[in-house]
Amino acid sequence: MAPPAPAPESLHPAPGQAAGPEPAATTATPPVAAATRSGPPVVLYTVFGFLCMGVALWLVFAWTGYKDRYSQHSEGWHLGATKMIEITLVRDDKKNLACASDRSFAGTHCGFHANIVPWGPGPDRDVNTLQPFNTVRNELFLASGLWFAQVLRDPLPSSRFTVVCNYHVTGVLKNVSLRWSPTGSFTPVDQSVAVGTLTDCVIPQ
Amino acid sequence: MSATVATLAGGIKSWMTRGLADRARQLRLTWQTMSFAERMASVFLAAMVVGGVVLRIQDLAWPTWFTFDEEPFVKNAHSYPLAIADNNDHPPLGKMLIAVGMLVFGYNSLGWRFIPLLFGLQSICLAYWLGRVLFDSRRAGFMAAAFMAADGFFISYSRSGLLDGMMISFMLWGMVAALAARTWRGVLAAGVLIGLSTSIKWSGAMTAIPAAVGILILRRVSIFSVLWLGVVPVVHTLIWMGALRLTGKPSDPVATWRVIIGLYKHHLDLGHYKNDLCSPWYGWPILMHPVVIKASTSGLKSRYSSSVGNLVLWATTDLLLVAIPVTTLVIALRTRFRRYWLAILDRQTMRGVWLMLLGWFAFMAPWLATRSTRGNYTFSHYYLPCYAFLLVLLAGLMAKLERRYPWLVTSYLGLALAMAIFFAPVWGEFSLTSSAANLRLWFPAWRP
Repeated sequence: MAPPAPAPESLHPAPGQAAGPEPAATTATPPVAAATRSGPPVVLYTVFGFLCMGVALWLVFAWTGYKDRYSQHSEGWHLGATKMIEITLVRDDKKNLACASDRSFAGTHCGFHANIVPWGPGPDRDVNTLQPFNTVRNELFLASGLWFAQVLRDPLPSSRFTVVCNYHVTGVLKNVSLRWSPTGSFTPVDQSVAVGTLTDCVIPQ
Repeated sequence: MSATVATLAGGIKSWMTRGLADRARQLRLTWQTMSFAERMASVFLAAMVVGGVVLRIQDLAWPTWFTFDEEPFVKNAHSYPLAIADNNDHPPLGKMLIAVGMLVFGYNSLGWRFIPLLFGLQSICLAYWLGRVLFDSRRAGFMAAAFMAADGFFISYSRSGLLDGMMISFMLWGMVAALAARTWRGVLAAGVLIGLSTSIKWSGAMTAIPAAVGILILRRVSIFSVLWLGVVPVVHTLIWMGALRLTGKPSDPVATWRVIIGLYKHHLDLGHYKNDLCSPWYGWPILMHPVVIKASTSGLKSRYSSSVGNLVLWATTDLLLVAIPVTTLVIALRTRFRRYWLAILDRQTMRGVWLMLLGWFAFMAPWLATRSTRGNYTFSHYYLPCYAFLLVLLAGLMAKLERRYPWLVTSYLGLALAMAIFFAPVWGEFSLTSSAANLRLWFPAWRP
């Protein structure tokens, strides 16, 4: 089957040409788009363009040192270390978050014993009460002292926000149960969780 | 092979020397012959393309941790260079490609988002080629590229280490190859590209339907050439065998087939799962629950990359989705209306429009067919390939209408650009207060 002659590409015909049905609408010949056998090797062009784009982007990212600006800072989780961490919060977390365990670390302890009996007056009145938190990188840890930071005594926003604090790692707790809402139940976690204290908190601007 | 390389080298050399000057002169001449409205439209389209590229690239690596579904894909991608088995529930190619980015930039957020970005940018170029080849019009290609560039649905998937953007790119590539094919080799290339799309996500295989129909109706190659699309499952199986071999698992055809069948059964069984981000198929065209692909908070401000589309383009494509079949039905019943219709849109344009609608339906069909087992465990990003077809359809129509109604089309493009500018902060992860974000993410289901 011989293909019909190629139709020239009409990008912008003169204004007068535009009106009325186009020839293709009235012909019985199978219309043939753009280029036929003499058309551009589209697949080869697109493959070549893709490779060029990849190399160009790689050069730009490498030249600007882009990777280093966004390198991960996930080290520093060891006993005795002080680590700067960004914690994600809502203002009700003071009441929402709680842990249950019989262990204590240098005076700090969970808000509940392992049998879910309250231990101490709670995190907003006791600087030694531990609560579970997550960093913005979704790393779980237990900490006390957050709500005594000056910046968290001011009126807090109604939406989710973050605070950046110094976290001093004082221990590691296994077999701890966590609760994420005041009416929720305590669920045991199957991992070791860092325990420590938070100081010098600020809301990043 | 050597002939192919020689063709490419010759083409590039010609393009680098004579072609660039010719092209610049041609562009200048085209610009001079354009009316003021068309020039305005060209400026709007160029702004959409440039803005779309910038939105995809800027601050790509933020946040430096996993968002949405990145974690399973990236961790399994990381497994390939370490020769550890992949336990993800999608074919291996997408994760192998993500691994290439991590080999170049390391195991960090730039590394795992680099290759999806590259494919996201390539999709803009491929939309151009698809529009150009399908509608025989560079203008249609330019519009298709601009629409894809200035739509949050595609921007958000270009900015994250997910599979869908890469699957779409190979889908478009396969369509371009099929429609531009002049010999059986072109059809074979289309089959290989569709096979690659299928090797990222199985739904990519549906590209074979519009590609085959396109080859048959354009009749640029022998109709029997369409059989070369049979290479799709071969490419898919070979890639899977290679991935299994790379990770030290049994990789013979029988073992590979068992893995594929096991995964297929797992997919059919997903209806038992629950996920807050699910949305049923009929909710996708009406933006019932577009997912915020990336969300991070720092201090009192948040940064979002939402998959809410460009509402001007979205609403128009939805309208066309209903209007075109209804109009066609009316014309079929009342043939006296046909001449009015053909006065606006010729047969070639309508052929392209129907081919794109077929593509839309081909990618919707699996979710309609498996609704009894999958239930509502489906997500809005399954609509991504369908929407890509609709945007190319829209571009073809707009390019055609521009010849008769230049000011109307220019105004429309200006509106689409304005919408893109308004939504850019929640597509490109600008630092916003929650009230500024909610101004754009209107409904609770649109918010993280």
